[in-house]
Formats: sequence, structure tokens, C-alpha cells
Amino acid sequence: MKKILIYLLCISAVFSGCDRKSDLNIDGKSTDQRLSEALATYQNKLADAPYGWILTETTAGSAMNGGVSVTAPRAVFSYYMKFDKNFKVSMISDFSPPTSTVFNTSSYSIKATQRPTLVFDTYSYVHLPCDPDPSVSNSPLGGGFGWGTDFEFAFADNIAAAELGDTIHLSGNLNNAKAILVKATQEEQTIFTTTGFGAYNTFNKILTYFKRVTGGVETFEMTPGIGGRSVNIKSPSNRQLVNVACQFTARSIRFETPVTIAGQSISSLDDLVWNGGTISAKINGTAAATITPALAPIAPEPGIAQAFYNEGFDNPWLAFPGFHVNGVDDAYNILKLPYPGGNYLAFVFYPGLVNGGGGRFFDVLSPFFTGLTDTGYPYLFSGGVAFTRVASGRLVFVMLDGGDGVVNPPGLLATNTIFDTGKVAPPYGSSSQGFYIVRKENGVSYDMVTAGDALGWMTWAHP
Amino acid sequence: MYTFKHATMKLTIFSKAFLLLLLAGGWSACKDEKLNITTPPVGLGGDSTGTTPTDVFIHDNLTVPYNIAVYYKWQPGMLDFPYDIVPPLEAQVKPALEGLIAVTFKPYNDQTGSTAFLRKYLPKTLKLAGTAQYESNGTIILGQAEGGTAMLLYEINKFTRQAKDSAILKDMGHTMHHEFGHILHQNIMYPVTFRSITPAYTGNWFNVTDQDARMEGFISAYAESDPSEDFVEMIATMLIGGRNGLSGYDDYEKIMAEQTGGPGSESYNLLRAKEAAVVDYFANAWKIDFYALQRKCRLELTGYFQ
Repeated sequence: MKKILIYLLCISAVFSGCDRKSDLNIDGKSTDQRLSEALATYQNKLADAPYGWILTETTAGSAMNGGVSVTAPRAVFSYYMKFDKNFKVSMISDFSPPTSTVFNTSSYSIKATQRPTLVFDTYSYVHLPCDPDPSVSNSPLGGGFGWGTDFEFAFADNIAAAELGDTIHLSGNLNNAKAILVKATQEEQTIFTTTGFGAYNTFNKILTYFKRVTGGVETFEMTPGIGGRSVNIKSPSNRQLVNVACQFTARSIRFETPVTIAGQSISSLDDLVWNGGTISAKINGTAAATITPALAPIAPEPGIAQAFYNEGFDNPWLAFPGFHVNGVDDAYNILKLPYPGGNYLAFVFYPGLVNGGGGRFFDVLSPFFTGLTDTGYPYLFSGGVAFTRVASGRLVFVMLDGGDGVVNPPGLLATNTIFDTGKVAPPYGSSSQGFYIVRKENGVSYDMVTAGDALGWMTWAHP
Repeated sequence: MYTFKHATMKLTIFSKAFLLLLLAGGWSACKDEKLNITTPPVGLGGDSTGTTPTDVFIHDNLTVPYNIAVYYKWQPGMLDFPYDIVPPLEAQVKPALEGLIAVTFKPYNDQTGSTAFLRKYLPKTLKLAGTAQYESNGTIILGQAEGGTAMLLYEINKFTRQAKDSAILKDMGHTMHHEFGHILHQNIMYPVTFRSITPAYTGNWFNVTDQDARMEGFISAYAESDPSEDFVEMIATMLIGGRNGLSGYDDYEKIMAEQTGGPGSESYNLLRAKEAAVVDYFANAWKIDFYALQRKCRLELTGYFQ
């Protein structure tokens, strides 16, 4: 009986193996033909939009390299792009001031991977935040990781290409970053091609660390989030930092989620206009407001400078990039700081490590290099020792020269001058005002901001 | 009981014959299936990404003379996954390839008299990336080979012809000579005695600096990893120089003079013994005068940078 069943199964297998209905053709088209058609439909969808697309990419909060996933700060990147039929795409982005106005042309392709995938297949602005070289991506995560952004995106709407509308959802294949493509209007095209990401440019014309917004129910302060792709918001009545990722458009700054200040919910600052020193804006598109530079925190955390200093005694503070000065990240290119035979690792602030003799101890405020045999701090005794005190809630350094005679590269000289003076440029005045210490949104890293002009800052953490 | 058994046997005989018939019938029924490919399928040449001047350059200068395909546009999964690597800037591709051809291909062609040698042994695929591949142990990969079929060249975005940036092209050239060396010794093995010149190979090479390695008779830290790596590192360093920390590239003779124990020292003698092994190998296995090839490489290098 059992055997009969097996034979019956075999017989049916043989028959069904040759069943013409199992043909993979649908409507007389083979899989390959249908695949090509589907990919062409996706491409036409992108290339047929007459005024281009606005792409907004939001990171998933992690970045992947070599199978290692690290937690990354939230970030939003915006692009205006036009796709053409010859697989070229031109775009601007809010990555940096130059990319916000100058169009760049590169190529793209639509591939059949596990899901249909849009690939930006040669280097473009989309790749800048993905670049594993931190001196390009300005990523705070160090070498090998960008921001957790993607340049290979699966179409994530799970509908046929022909049914896609004016909003297309994408999902990154490596870092799972989410992106939304929205068809631009003619008016938007005109704005982007004439003024670029104007809001990004305008907002970043204020170069100080502290920016204050007046005009709402209560004045509030905006400071850069970790890595500068989000903002931290604080006000006198709400001293708890609120970190919010923000999207820059041609005229507006939109908060990813609304922020409540003194009972007022704020979701955007609109119609930004630069007035030579300050910016006029409209809160939520209606209430007139002004964004002004500020030299000091609106609601400083009490005792923070002393606590920061004390914490370093057991556990040195590290900063990978150098000072952000006048709007430029790592302005003196400290990430590429040279020393013969060594590789730059990080700038180190290590209180109490230097024995000055006679029971006096000083602090290391100098770059650390790997690969050297005698010392990791080759520049320490030629200007890298700090005598530190806390005054008026600020950290004030006097940089000491140990007379070692090692010639400092220009970038290090400039950095040490900022430490010594608490300002990014002369006139320096008779004494340094030192540095404000500002806790970041993760609670464990700190910005050290020049108190003299608020134009320079460096981020410290225990990695 | 007996009858039942008998009946089963009959059924077995009958059904075996029937099954054969069925199979034959099924076979002939399936013969009608035809594979009809009029256009190449997607993913096997069927997807166009537009032909650019870069594609034309590659076709004329690498595909036709050397039978090499160059992938500069990102293909999902082509490079190591899941690494954060990005594709090259298209404007960089042509100059970087021109540089590579000038300083590494041309000397071989001049020495062997034609492109035939390279055409036969060069890996048939070049894959380009804009940046390096960053490893979790702190090293970065500037190039690798895939079993003699493909060569991966990184950091195309940093390529320039400026003399001050010459280390980038030299890194690429080093990769090319290194990987090409592997292909050569995979075709004709180097003498087994090479392994015994410095037998102290270690998987822990990345904790050793190049400088320390050179004092131990290895031309680079990576050469300490394995005899084959040692052999091809010798070839590459002799032809294009070697890394000297962040300060850039040094010529082989400069490394020998300054970073080994110097003439008469053990490390110097060990490296010279390896040099002799390489020169003998090229003469015996490939009938190539290595020193003449080395001179041609140096000449092209000095002429190339501005």
C-alpha cells in the first residue's frame, strides 16, 4: 500500500514536472523581461518628475562597518536632486555650505537585489556622510564609520513600480537609514536652483556656539548636537536639554518632532532671512522671531566645569577632531596631525598627570600618538602642559612650555593658542576668559566652548 | 499470506516497467522546453547604466589591450559586505587608471616587448573604491586580490599627480605589483628555500611596525605574515618602494640603507638574500631581467609626478 502511494507520488511528480502551466512566463513575458520592465518603470518614475525630487534621509541611530554596529547620533540629511534617463543625477545637499548651493552630477542605477534598489553608484553628496574617513564625513564615530547613512536604498513601499505616487519610501541596505523622496514642485525647483538649501546657509551664518531665539513665549537657546547634525534646545524654564534632529529646507528649519518651550509647541522656524548679524524668522510659520548669536549659555549647569575637571583625573578626556572654529569643523586639521613614525589617535585632556616637582601637578592637554616607543605625547613638553583653574564656572588654562624644543606644526600651535586665550582670534585681552563646559545630549560627552567669543569648540568624551 | 506476497511482487515488476515508461514519456515531453534568450538577462549584462567617457576610456585602454573589465560604479555586494566603503568619484577614475597604467603596466610591457605577458597573467577584473576599507583592528586595507581573478583598488578619490601626494599612486602601484606577484607565483611557485631565509612568520604582524619588521629582515610588517606575502612584498617594494609611516614612500634602496641595520648587518643580509631569490625567480621562471624591470619602473615613476 505504502509503495503504491510512493509510486503515485512519483508519477504525479513526473507529470507535474512537465506541466506547461508551471511556465514562469506571465502574460507571455519571461522573468527577465518583467524584471527589466520593472526596473525601467522605477527609473522612469524618478526621471520623469519634471521638477526633481527632495530626498530626506534620517539615520536609524546606528552605523555598521565590518560587521560591527555602533550607536550613532541621530542625523537628518536633505537633498534636492534631479534624475535623468541617462542614469545621471545632479544634486545639492545640506551637508556643508558649499554643497548647499553648488550642484554636483554623478550617476545612479536601479538594481534588482532582494528588493528593487536605487544605488547612487559613483561618489556624490549622498556619499559624503557615508565616507569612512572622518575628515570627510565629519562623523564623530571615528575611522571606518560615517553617520550611519546609506547610498544603496531599497524601494520600501512594497507596491509595484507603476503604482508609486509622489512620495516614495526608501530603506538603506547597509545601515537601514530611512529616506523619503518627495516630488518637488516648480516653485521648489526655482528656489533650490537659485538659493540652494537657503535655510542651512542662513542658519550657519551665525557662527557662535550659542544661538538664541526670541519672539516665542520664552527665549530659548539652540546649540549643536553631537557631530552638529541635530540641535540641543534649552530655556531658562526648561533647563533639561532637548535634542532634536532637524531638517533644513530652502527657507525653513523643521524639527523632527515638535519641541515644547514654556507650553508653546514649536515644530519649525520658517522664512529665515539674514540681516547681517541676526536672522529674522517665523515660529511655526507665523509668530515673528529673531535668532541672535550669544556668547554665554542661557542656563548654565552649576558646577559643571569643576565636575568635568575632576572626572578627568581618573579617566582622561579624549577629543578626536580638533577645534571647530568659525564654522569649520576641525579647522586646523588635527585629525591629520603629523609626527614622524607615529599615528595621531586623539587630543587628550588628562588632569594631574604631569609632575611639576615640589608637589605641583599639571595637566596634559596634548595630542596622543600611537606607534611611538618612548612617549605617546611627543608635543607635551613643547607647549602641551596646562595649568588649569576654575573661575566663574569656567575652565581657564595657562599653557606651559617645557622647553622641549619639538617644533609644533602650525595646526597645533593655533590649537594651543586657543587653549591659552579662550578665543579663536586676537585681540586677546589681558587675561583669558577660559571655556564654558556644556554637557551634550548623551550626558557623557562635553563641549568646551571659547568663553571669549563662543566661536570655537571641541568635544570631549571617554570613548 | 502467500497470495498477498505474490501480488506485491507482481506489482513491483509491473510498476518498475511502468515507471520507466513514464520517465521516458516525461523526458520527451520536457524536451519541448526551449531556453530563449534574445537579450542578456538583468545582472548579466542586461542592465544598462549609460555609457560615459570613462567607460570608453576603460574599453580602449584596458578591455581591448588587456582583456580587463573595470567596475567603478557601485554594485551591491561587490566589495566586502558589510563594510562602510564608498564608490569612487567618476572624475577620478580615468586619471587614476592612467597613472596605474603608466607606472606599473608600461614597464612590464617595455621589458617583455609587448602587452602579451600582462594580458595573459593580469587579473581580469579591477574593482575600484573611493575610500579605503577600515578594519576593526585599526588597520586599513588599500588593496586586495580575489584569487587571481580580480584586484581591488581603494582610495581612488585621493589620487593626484602631485609629487607631494605620490604615496596614493604608489599605494595603488604597490597593490598591483603585490597582487600580480601572487598570480605569478601561483602559476610558477618560487623556490621552497625562500621560506627558510627568515622562518619567523607570525599572524600577529599588525602589531609590528614596518620599521621593526625591517630590522628583523622583513621588508614590511605585512611581509611577516606569511612566506608568500613576504615574497610579493619584496617584489612590490623593489619595484615601487615601501611605506615609511605617514611621511610617505621610500625607494627600496633608501629603505635598505636607512631602515635596516645597514650593510653587513643580519637584517640587511637577509633582505639581500630575499632580493637575490626574487631576481633568480624572475630570470628562471619568466625570463625577465628583474633589475632592468626595476630601472624602468623607477624611470616611469620619476617622470610621472608633477
